[in-house]
Amino acid sequence: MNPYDEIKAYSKTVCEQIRWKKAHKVIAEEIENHICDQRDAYILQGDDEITATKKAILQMGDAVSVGMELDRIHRPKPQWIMISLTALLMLIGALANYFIDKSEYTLFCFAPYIIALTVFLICYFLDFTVLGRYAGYIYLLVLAFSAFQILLGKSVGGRMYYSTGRFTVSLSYLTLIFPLAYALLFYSLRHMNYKGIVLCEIGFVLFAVVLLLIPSFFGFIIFSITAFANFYICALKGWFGFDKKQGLLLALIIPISAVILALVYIIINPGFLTGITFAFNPYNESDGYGYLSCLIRDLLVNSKFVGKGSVPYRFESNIPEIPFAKTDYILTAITYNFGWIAFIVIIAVILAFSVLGIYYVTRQRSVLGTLLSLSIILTLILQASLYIINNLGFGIIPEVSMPLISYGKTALVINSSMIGFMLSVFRTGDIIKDSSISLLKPQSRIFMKMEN
Amino acid sequence: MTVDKSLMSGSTTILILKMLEEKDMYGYQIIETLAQRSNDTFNLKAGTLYPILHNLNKQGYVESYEKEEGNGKVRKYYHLTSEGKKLLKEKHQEWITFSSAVNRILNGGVSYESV
Repeated sequence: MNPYDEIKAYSKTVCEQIRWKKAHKVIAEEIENHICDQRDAYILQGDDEITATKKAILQMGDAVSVGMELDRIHRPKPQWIMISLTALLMLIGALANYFIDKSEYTLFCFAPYIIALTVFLICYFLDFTVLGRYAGYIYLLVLAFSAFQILLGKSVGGRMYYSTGRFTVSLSYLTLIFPLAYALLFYSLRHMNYKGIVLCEIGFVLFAVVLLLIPSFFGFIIFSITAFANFYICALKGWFGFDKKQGLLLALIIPISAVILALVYIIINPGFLTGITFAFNPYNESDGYGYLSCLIRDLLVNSKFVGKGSVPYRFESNIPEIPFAKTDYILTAITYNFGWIAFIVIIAVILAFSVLGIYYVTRQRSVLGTLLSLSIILTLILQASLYIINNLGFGIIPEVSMPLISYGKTALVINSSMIGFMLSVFRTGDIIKDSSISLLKPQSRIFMKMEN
Repeated sequence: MTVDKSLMSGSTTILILKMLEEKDMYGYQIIETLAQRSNDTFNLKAGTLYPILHNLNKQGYVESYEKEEGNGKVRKYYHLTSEGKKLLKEKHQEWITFSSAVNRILNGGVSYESV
């Protein structure tokens, strides 16, 4: 046998003992490199290649024993607690949607959750490095798809929807995928130095403009914060090839451009500021702009700790109905119908999910794993936070969903797939090497054309 | 002089951690440095080293990263984390207690320090 084939045969025997196939490539590479180093040392001492290779392999020890030892160490890490919390949130969502609007819903309301669970499982078991391989394509696809929908979508109640046949897609929910797509753009441009920074900035502005055109101001806030976090982490870890201080200074271009775009949006839409003013003092116009916030606050004041709340005084004996309860105010509806205990349980589940998520993000070693999981967990946390604030009577138009709980098929499927990918990163991220992901770079050429 | 392998098995982790405390190293480099420093007393097999290194990596005591060498070869380096430094300190203390006790017995009740 050829000496190099002997080395390959040794690493193959080692890998055959390791049940987790994803770990094979990384382990085989390290072992083969070691044998080659040892072989070269023996050659320098005067041995010929064949003898040197045989001695180097002998020095490694028994391949089966080594493989069995490594098999005990390398196992995927399914995050059972986070998987259980995801299932619990889905169950809460399905039950809440069923009990809050029984008139419209039969058991069929569970169908979207079955689809969401399937999507979650597919993404969970999918190799997340596929996203890294097609990073640039995914960004461009999401951008093109959103731009196309803005052109063809229709505005209903201040929100933009795109309908085709029986399917309707909410654009403000669709944009929940922007932070993830942008993280992929970051990943694909990280070796490009200053050119990479310029392209990232262009990529940021394009998504931000789409969000403000929809308009989804709070989607814009979520996207901007997540993009800045990605940039900050890249700078901190030196992934852009700059020193830390220089990188952190460059990261500031994201918040600066976000503030400029937000100011432009507010100047063009002065009504937005009025909405914000009433968010803090809704009783100034309790029959007009602040009606919904006043209703929410009244219902919460009259909610019990356990059980259905009492009817607010101003409604006399008429039980008030919350408009858009399932989509925008499901937490308020749950609290009023089942008591604050239900609210506390949901917040506790969300909090536990978020804390665990952040913890596992900090444990990631690969650039792709870190950027993907960070952008997903931040999108989920910020979504939930804005939704909770809105449901406590601070009348901000939500434009976002309560992950896995509020009604909205687009948001449900997008959130489920994102959580699936995030847990896939946590499960297998330990063994992922960025260098082993061969990147396809369509964006470079296209962005360069745009620059010109 | 060759040493009984069972004597070394308990101290392999501390020796690897000590090597990495000085600088980041790749697997082959750890074995070579250890052999040189111990005048070939500690001839660690690679098959013993890598499971220990991977386990330390899994537990967060060491981190690994890849670095391209001048000859274009990509090597996997290991770096001791702050948790790893704490572990080394604990293991070192443990070793002092253990070795002094062994020496006290071997020297008929006289402690190692006083010999």
